[in-house]
Amino acid sequence: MTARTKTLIETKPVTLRRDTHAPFIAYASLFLLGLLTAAAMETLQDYVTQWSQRELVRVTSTDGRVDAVFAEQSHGPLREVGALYLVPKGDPASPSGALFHGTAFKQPPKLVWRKPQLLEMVYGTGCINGFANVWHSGVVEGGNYYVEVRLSPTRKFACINDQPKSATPVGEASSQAKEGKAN
Amino acid sequence: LSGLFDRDAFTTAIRRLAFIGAFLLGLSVPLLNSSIPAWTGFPIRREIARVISPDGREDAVLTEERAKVVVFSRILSQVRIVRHWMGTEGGSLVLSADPLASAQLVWTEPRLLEIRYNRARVIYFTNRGAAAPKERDWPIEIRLAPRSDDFSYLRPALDPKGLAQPPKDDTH
Repeated sequence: MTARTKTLIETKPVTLRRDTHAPFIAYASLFLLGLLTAAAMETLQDYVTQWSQRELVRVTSTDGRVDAVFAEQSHGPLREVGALYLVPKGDPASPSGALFHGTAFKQPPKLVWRKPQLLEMVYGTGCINGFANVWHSGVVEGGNYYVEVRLSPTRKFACINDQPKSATPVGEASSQAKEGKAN
Repeated sequence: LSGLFDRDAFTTAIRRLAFIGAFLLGLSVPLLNSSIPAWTGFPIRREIARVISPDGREDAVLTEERAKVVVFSRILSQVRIVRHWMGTEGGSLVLSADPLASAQLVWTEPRLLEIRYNRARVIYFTNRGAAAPKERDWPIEIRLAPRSDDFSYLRPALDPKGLAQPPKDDTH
């Protein structure tokens, strides 16, 4: 090593550069934390809904494997939402597994098992949203159990008023008095 | 210039933003999960039938959407209520099914639409629609009318235990 090189090394200021890259594991951990938070929020929402909902009708299928449940959830003092569930016999109705959500049910619907895997919901009034007509259980009969559901409104207009220019669905603006509600 | 621009502070801020972004991405995955198939599918919508209501205000439109999701494609049949002769983009979706066989749209009254079919697996249905999503003064009632009193989708005794099952060939 020459004297000139030695001088350069000794006189050059040493700068320590910080590592500016966060490890991948830090980003992955935060991503997972976000996922967990979303799952926790959904679980909490389900728990609150389940806590506020009450079963109005529960009818066991003719083969005794599943229950059809109609429950009512309270969404504030003036808004009640009905929901239809199919659950393994005796199980509680989990809010995330509803076959539909509906409003303006003046009376709880009749749940009629036409045959073991065919359920008919007979109702007078009610506005239905997000209905799916096939339910599948991952538990009953090793996951091979399906139920088909059909809707049978008894009135010509079950949701809307039979008057032109009506702004509200049947019963939506009516009082909370529900005739003949099952206890 | 180096006095005005603190590189370390800038890097730290970017890193913090990246951390927040990673957290928010994780938080939004459940929401994105339901939308991704629609984004990636690039559906091609084809109008199959259009039936005008008795008072001439609305049309009930039956469409088929062919969406290719990654490797498989699915055909989704949909029914929408739209203003007379308007496109299907602005109307309200009242039925989505896969499959929907031999469907017929029948206006039994000016504000009552019946959807008749032989076979359907209904994915989404609402019994209240309107030509425009915000048009609350002229709602339409919709009802499903399967032609058979028996199963309209499941097939009886396909299973060794005699349980009704979905058909193996889900073709239209």
